[in-house]
Amino acid sequence: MLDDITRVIAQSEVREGVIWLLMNVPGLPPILQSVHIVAVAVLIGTVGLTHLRILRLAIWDQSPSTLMHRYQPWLGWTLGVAFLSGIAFVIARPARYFLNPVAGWKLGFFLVAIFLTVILFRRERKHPGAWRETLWATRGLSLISTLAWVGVIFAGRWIAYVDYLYWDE
Amino acid sequence: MAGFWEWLGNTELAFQIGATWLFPFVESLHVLFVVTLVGAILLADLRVLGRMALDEPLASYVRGYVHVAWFAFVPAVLTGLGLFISRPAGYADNIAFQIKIILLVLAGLNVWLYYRSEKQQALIAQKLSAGLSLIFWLSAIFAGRWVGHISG
Repeated sequence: MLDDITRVIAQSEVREGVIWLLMNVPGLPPILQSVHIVAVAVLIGTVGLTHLRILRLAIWDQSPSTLMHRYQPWLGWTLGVAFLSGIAFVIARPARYFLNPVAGWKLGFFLVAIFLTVILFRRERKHPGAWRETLWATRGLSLISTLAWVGVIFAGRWIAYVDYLYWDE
Repeated sequence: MAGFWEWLGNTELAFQIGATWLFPFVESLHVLFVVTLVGAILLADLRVLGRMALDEPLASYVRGYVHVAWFAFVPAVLTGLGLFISRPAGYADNIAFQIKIILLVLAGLNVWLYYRSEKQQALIAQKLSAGLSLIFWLSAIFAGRWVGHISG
Protein backbone atom coordinates (compact mmCIF):
# COMPACT_ATOMS: atom_id res chain seq x y z
CA MET A 1 0.00 0.00 0.00
CA LEU A 2 2.85 2.40 0.85
CA ASP A 3 4.36 1.62 -2.56
CA ASP A 4 1.10 2.63 -4.21
CA ILE A 5 0.86 5.89 -2.23
CA THR A 6 4.47 6.67 -3.06
CA ARG A 7 3.87 6.01 -6.76
CA VAL A 8 0.69 8.11 -6.89
CA ILE A 9 2.41 11.07 -5.24
CA ALA A 10 5.57 10.65 -7.31
CA GLN A 11 3.56 10.80 -10.54
CA SER A 12 1.25 13.63 -9.47
CA GLU A 13 1.27 17.16 -10.80
CA VAL A 14 1.12 18.42 -7.22
CA ARG A 15 4.59 16.99 -6.69
CA GLU A 16 5.90 18.74 -9.77
CA GLY A 17 4.44 22.02 -8.48
CA VAL A 18 5.93 21.56 -5.02
CA ILE A 19 9.36 20.71 -6.45
CA TRP A 20 9.18 23.76 -8.69
CA LEU A 21 8.38 25.95 -5.66
CA LEU A 22 11.17 24.42 -3.54
CA MET A 23 13.70 24.94 -6.32
CA ASN A 24 12.62 28.38 -7.54
CA VAL A 25 11.42 30.33 -4.50
CA PRO A 26 14.64 31.72 -2.98
CA GLY A 27 15.31 30.24 0.45
CA LEU A 28 12.05 28.31 0.64
CA PRO A 29 13.51 24.98 1.91
CA PRO A 30 15.36 26.47 4.92
CA ILE A 31 12.41 28.80 5.60
CA LEU A 32 9.98 25.86 5.76
CA GLN A 33 12.44 23.83 7.85
CA SER A 34 12.88 26.75 10.25
CA VAL A 35 9.11 27.18 10.60
CA HIS A 36 8.88 23.44 11.30
CA ILE A 37 11.56 23.68 14.01
CA VAL A 38 9.90 26.72 15.61
CA ALA A 39 6.55 24.89 15.65
CA VAL A 40 8.27 21.93 17.36
CA ALA A 41 9.91 24.36 19.81
CA VAL A 42 6.49 25.81 20.70
CA LEU A 43 5.13 22.27 21.13
CA ILE A 44 7.97 21.38 23.49
CA GLY A 45 7.67 24.71 25.34
CA THR A 46 3.95 24.23 25.90
CA VAL A 47 3.12 20.51 25.90
CA GLY A 48 6.58 19.13 26.72
CA LEU A 49 7.18 21.44 29.67
CA THR A 50 3.66 20.79 30.96
CA HIS A 51 4.53 17.10 31.07
CA LEU A 52 7.78 17.96 32.87
CA ARG A 53 5.75 20.03 35.36
CA ILE A 54 3.47 17.06 36.01
CA LEU A 55 6.66 15.06 36.66
CA ARG A 56 7.86 17.85 39.01
CA LEU A 57 10.93 18.50 36.86
CA ALA A 58 10.22 22.09 35.72
CA ILE A 59 7.94 25.18 35.99
CA TRP A 60 7.31 24.59 39.70
CA ASP A 61 5.59 27.96 40.22
CA GLN A 62 2.58 27.06 38.07
CA SER A 63 0.05 24.27 38.56
CA PRO A 64 -0.27 21.54 35.91
CA SER A 65 -3.97 22.37 35.71
CA THR A 66 -3.23 25.99 34.77
CA LEU A 67 -0.67 24.93 32.18
CA MET A 68 -2.99 22.36 30.58
CA HIS A 69 -5.86 24.87 30.38
CA ARG A 70 -3.59 27.56 28.95
CA TYR A 71 -1.85 25.47 26.34
CA GLN A 72 -4.56 23.17 25.05
CA PRO A 73 -5.71 25.77 22.48
CA TRP A 74 -2.10 26.07 21.26
CA LEU A 75 -1.94 22.37 20.40
CA GLY A 76 -4.07 22.54 17.27
CA TRP A 77 -2.38 25.44 15.54
CA THR A 78 1.19 24.41 16.36
CA LEU A 79 0.49 20.91 15.01
CA GLY A 80 -1.10 22.51 11.94
CA VAL A 81 1.95 24.70 11.31
CA ALA A 82 4.30 21.75 11.87
CA PHE A 83 2.28 19.63 9.43
CA LEU A 84 2.03 22.29 6.72
CA SER A 85 5.73 23.17 6.95
CA GLY A 86 6.73 19.51 6.70
CA ILE A 87 4.31 18.23 4.08
CA ALA A 88 6.05 19.95 1.16
CA PHE A 89 9.15 17.77 1.67
CA VAL A 90 7.03 14.61 1.91
CA ILE A 91 5.28 15.45 -1.37
CA ALA A 92 8.57 16.36 -3.05
CA ARG A 93 10.32 13.14 -2.02
CA PRO A 94 7.62 10.57 -1.14
CA ALA A 95 9.94 7.54 -1.25
CA ARG A 96 12.20 9.16 1.35
CA TYR A 97 9.30 9.14 3.81
CA PHE A 98 6.77 6.46 2.86
CA LEU A 99 9.43 3.80 2.22
CA ASN A 100 11.64 4.84 5.13
CA PRO A 101 11.20 2.79 8.35
CA VAL A 102 12.49 5.71 10.47
CA ALA A 103 9.63 7.90 9.16
CA GLY A 104 7.32 5.12 10.38
CA TRP A 105 8.99 5.34 13.78
CA LYS A 106 8.41 9.10 13.80
CA LEU A 107 4.73 8.62 13.02
CA GLY A 108 4.43 5.92 15.68
CA PHE A 109 6.08 8.06 18.36
CA PHE A 110 3.93 11.02 17.32
CA LEU A 111 0.67 9.06 17.59
CA VAL A 112 1.57 7.85 21.09
CA ALA A 113 2.69 11.34 22.19
CA ILE A 114 -0.32 13.20 20.82
CA PHE A 115 -2.84 10.57 21.99
CA LEU A 116 -1.61 10.71 25.59
CA THR A 117 -1.29 14.50 25.52
CA VAL A 118 -4.85 14.99 24.26
CA ILE A 119 -6.20 12.46 26.79
CA LEU A 120 -4.52 14.28 29.70
CA PHE A 121 -5.35 17.81 28.54
CA ARG A 122 -9.01 17.06 27.69
CA ARG A 123 -9.59 15.22 30.95
CA GLU A 124 -8.19 18.16 32.89
CA ARG A 125 -10.43 20.53 30.95
CA LYS A 126 -13.55 18.50 31.76
CA HIS A 127 -12.56 17.71 35.35
CA PRO A 128 -10.25 20.41 36.74
CA GLY A 129 -7.87 18.88 39.28
CA ALA A 130 -8.17 15.38 37.79
CA TRP A 131 -4.37 15.21 37.44
CA ARG A 132 -4.04 15.37 41.24
CA GLU A 133 -6.73 12.75 41.89
CA THR A 134 -4.89 10.21 39.75
CA LEU A 135 -1.41 11.56 40.36
CA TRP A 136 0.72 8.51 39.65
CA ALA A 137 -1.28 7.41 36.62
CA THR A 138 -1.04 10.96 35.27
CA ARG A 139 2.70 11.00 35.90
CA GLY A 140 3.10 7.64 34.21
CA LEU A 141 1.24 8.82 31.11
CA SER A 142 3.20 12.08 31.13
CA LEU A 143 6.48 10.19 31.30
CA ILE A 144 5.51 7.97 28.35
CA SER A 145 4.32 11.00 26.39
CA THR A 146 7.54 12.91 27.15
CA LEU A 147 9.66 10.00 25.94
CA ALA A 148 7.48 9.71 22.84
CA TRP A 149 7.97 13.43 22.04
CA VAL A 150 11.73 12.91 22.39
CA GLY A 151 11.33 9.93 20.06
CA VAL A 152 9.54 12.15 17.51
CA ILE A 153 12.48 14.58 17.53
CA PHE A 154 15.12 11.85 17.29
CA ALA A 155 13.29 9.96 14.54
CA GLY A 156 12.75 13.25 12.69
CA ARG A 157 16.50 13.76 12.47
CA TRP A 158 17.32 10.10 11.74
CA ILE A 159 15.05 10.04 8.68
CA ALA A 160 18.02 11.50 6.84
CA TYR A 161 20.42 8.93 8.32
CA VAL A 162 18.41 5.77 7.78
CA ASP A 163 21.46 4.02 6.29
CA TYR A 164 23.12 3.92 9.71
CA LEU A 165 20.19 1.88 11.06
CA TYR A 166 19.17 -0.22 8.05
CA TRP A 167 22.48 -0.30 6.21
CA ASP A 168 22.17 -3.85 4.89
CA GLU A 169 18.73 -3.44 3.30
CA MET B 1 43.37 30.02 12.25
CA ALA B 2 43.22 27.61 9.29
CA GLY B 3 45.93 25.48 10.89
CA PHE B 4 43.97 25.24 14.13
CA TRP B 5 40.79 24.22 12.32
CA GLU B 6 42.77 21.57 10.42
CA TRP B 7 44.26 20.21 13.64
CA LEU B 8 40.86 20.24 15.34
CA GLY B 9 39.21 18.46 12.42
CA ASN B 10 41.88 15.75 12.50
CA THR B 11 41.47 14.84 16.17
CA GLU B 12 40.15 11.39 17.03
CA LEU B 13 36.96 12.85 18.52
CA ALA B 14 36.28 14.88 15.38
CA PHE B 15 36.77 11.78 13.27
CA GLN B 16 34.51 9.67 15.47
CA ILE B 17 31.71 12.24 15.32
CA GLY B 18 32.09 13.06 11.65
CA ALA B 19 32.42 9.57 10.26
CA THR B 20 30.14 7.44 12.41
CA TRP B 21 26.58 7.22 13.73
CA LEU B 22 27.67 9.69 16.42
CA PHE B 23 26.98 12.61 14.07
CA PRO B 24 23.22 12.02 13.74
CA PHE B 25 23.07 11.10 17.43
CA VAL B 26 24.76 14.33 18.55
CA GLU B 27 22.70 16.28 16.02
CA SER B 28 19.48 14.79 17.40
CA LEU B 29 20.51 15.78 20.92
CA HIS B 30 21.36 19.27 19.63
CA VAL B 31 17.90 19.66 18.08
CA LEU B 32 16.23 18.34 21.25
CA PHE B 33 18.01 20.84 23.49
CA VAL B 34 17.66 23.73 21.02
CA VAL B 35 13.87 23.30 20.67
CA THR B 36 13.59 23.05 24.48
CA LEU B 37 15.73 26.17 24.90
CA VAL B 38 13.91 28.20 22.26
CA GLY B 39 10.48 26.93 23.31
CA ALA B 40 11.09 28.09 26.89
CA ILE B 41 12.52 31.45 25.78
CA LEU B 42 9.62 32.14 23.40
CA LEU B 43 7.06 31.59 26.16
CA ALA B 44 9.00 33.80 28.58
CA ASP B 45 9.35 36.54 25.93
CA LEU B 46 5.64 36.46 25.06
CA ARG B 47 4.78 36.85 28.75
CA VAL B 48 7.14 39.83 29.13
CA LEU B 49 5.57 41.37 26.02
CA GLY B 50 2.15 40.99 27.67
CA ARG B 51 0.85 38.55 25.03
CA MET B 52 -0.06 35.64 27.33
CA ALA B 53 -0.47 34.33 30.90
CA LEU B 54 -1.21 37.80 32.28
CA ASP B 55 -2.80 36.17 35.34
CA GLU B 56 0.66 34.92 36.38
CA PRO B 57 3.14 37.17 38.25
CA LEU B 58 5.78 38.21 35.73
CA ALA B 59 8.91 37.46 37.77
CA SER B 60 7.99 33.95 38.91
CA TYR B 61 6.58 33.03 35.49
CA VAL B 62 9.74 34.11 33.67
CA ARG B 63 11.95 32.45 36.29
CA GLY B 64 10.37 29.05 35.63
CA TYR B 65 11.04 29.19 31.90
CA VAL B 66 14.50 30.73 32.29
CA HIS B 67 15.49 27.77 34.51
CA VAL B 68 14.51 25.43 31.69
CA ALA B 69 16.34 27.58 29.14
CA TRP B 70 19.59 27.50 31.14
CA PHE B 71 19.25 23.77 31.69
CA ALA B 72 18.91 23.24 27.92
CA PHE B 73 21.50 25.88 26.95
CA VAL B 74 24.59 24.08 28.27
CA PRO B 75 24.00 20.73 26.49
CA ALA B 76 22.86 22.65 23.37
CA VAL B 77 26.25 24.40 23.28
CA LEU B 78 28.20 21.20 24.02
CA THR B 79 26.41 19.24 21.28
CA GLY B 80 26.82 22.21 18.94
CA LEU B 81 30.57 22.15 19.60
CA GLY B 82 30.56 18.41 18.93
CA LEU B 83 28.99 19.01 15.52
CA PHE B 84 31.35 21.92 14.83
CA ILE B 85 34.57 19.96 15.40
CA SER B 86 33.49 17.32 12.90
CA ARG B 87 34.10 19.87 10.11
CA PRO B 88 35.51 23.04 11.73
CA ALA B 89 36.98 24.72 8.64
CA GLY B 90 33.78 24.14 6.64
CA TYR B 91 31.60 25.64 9.36
CA ALA B 92 33.96 28.54 10.09
CA ASP B 93 33.85 29.54 6.41
CA ASN B 94 30.08 29.16 6.18
CA ILE B 95 28.42 32.61 6.15
CA ALA B 96 25.18 31.24 7.64
CA PHE B 97 27.15 29.71 10.51
CA GLN B 98 28.99 32.99 11.11
CA ILE B 99 25.65 34.86 11.21
CA LYS B 100 24.27 32.23 13.61
CA ILE B 101 27.19 32.73 16.01
CA ILE B 102 26.79 36.54 15.85
CA LEU B 103 23.06 36.17 16.61
CA LEU B 104 23.82 33.91 19.57
CA VAL B 105 26.31 36.45 20.95
CA LEU B 106 23.70 39.19 20.53
CA ALA B 107 21.13 36.98 22.28
CA GLY B 108 23.60 36.53 25.13
CA LEU B 109 24.19 40.28 25.46
CA ASN B 110 20.43 40.72 25.37
CA VAL B 111 20.06 38.47 28.42
CA TRP B 112 22.35 40.89 30.27
CA LEU B 113 20.11 43.79 29.08
CA TYR B 114 17.03 41.96 30.37
CA TYR B 115 18.45 41.30 33.83
CA ARG B 116 19.70 44.89 34.08
CA SER B 117 16.28 46.30 33.14
CA GLU B 118 14.56 43.85 35.50
CA LYS B 119 16.79 45.02 38.34
CA GLN B 120 15.88 48.64 37.60
CA GLN B 121 12.21 47.65 37.14
CA ALA B 122 12.22 49.29 33.72
CA LEU B 123 9.32 47.47 32.06
CA ILE B 124 9.72 49.17 28.69
CA ALA B 125 13.35 48.07 28.52
CA GLN B 126 12.30 44.56 29.55
CA LYS B 127 9.78 44.49 26.71
CA LEU B 128 12.35 45.78 24.27
CA SER B 129 14.72 43.03 25.41
CA ALA B 130 12.00 40.38 25.02
CA GLY B 131 11.24 41.61 21.49
CA LEU B 132 14.93 41.50 20.58
CA SER B 133 15.19 38.05 22.11
CA LEU B 134 12.42 36.76 19.83
CA ILE B 135 14.16 38.27 16.79
CA PHE B 136 17.62 36.91 17.74
CA TRP B 137 16.51 33.37 18.55
CA LEU B 138 14.15 32.93 15.61
CA SER B 139 16.84 34.32 13.28
CA ALA B 140 19.42 31.99 14.84
CA ILE B 141 17.19 29.00 14.06
CA PHE B 142 16.81 30.22 10.49
CA ALA B 143 20.57 30.74 10.13
CA GLY B 144 21.19 27.32 11.68
CA ARG B 145 18.99 25.64 9.10
CA TRP B 146 20.62 27.66 6.32
CA VAL B 147 24.06 26.29 7.30
CA GLY B 148 23.18 22.96 5.70
CA HIS B 149 22.08 24.62 2.46
CA ILE B 150 25.45 26.28 1.84
CA SER B 151 28.27 24.06 0.72
CA GLY B 152 31.50 24.90 2.46
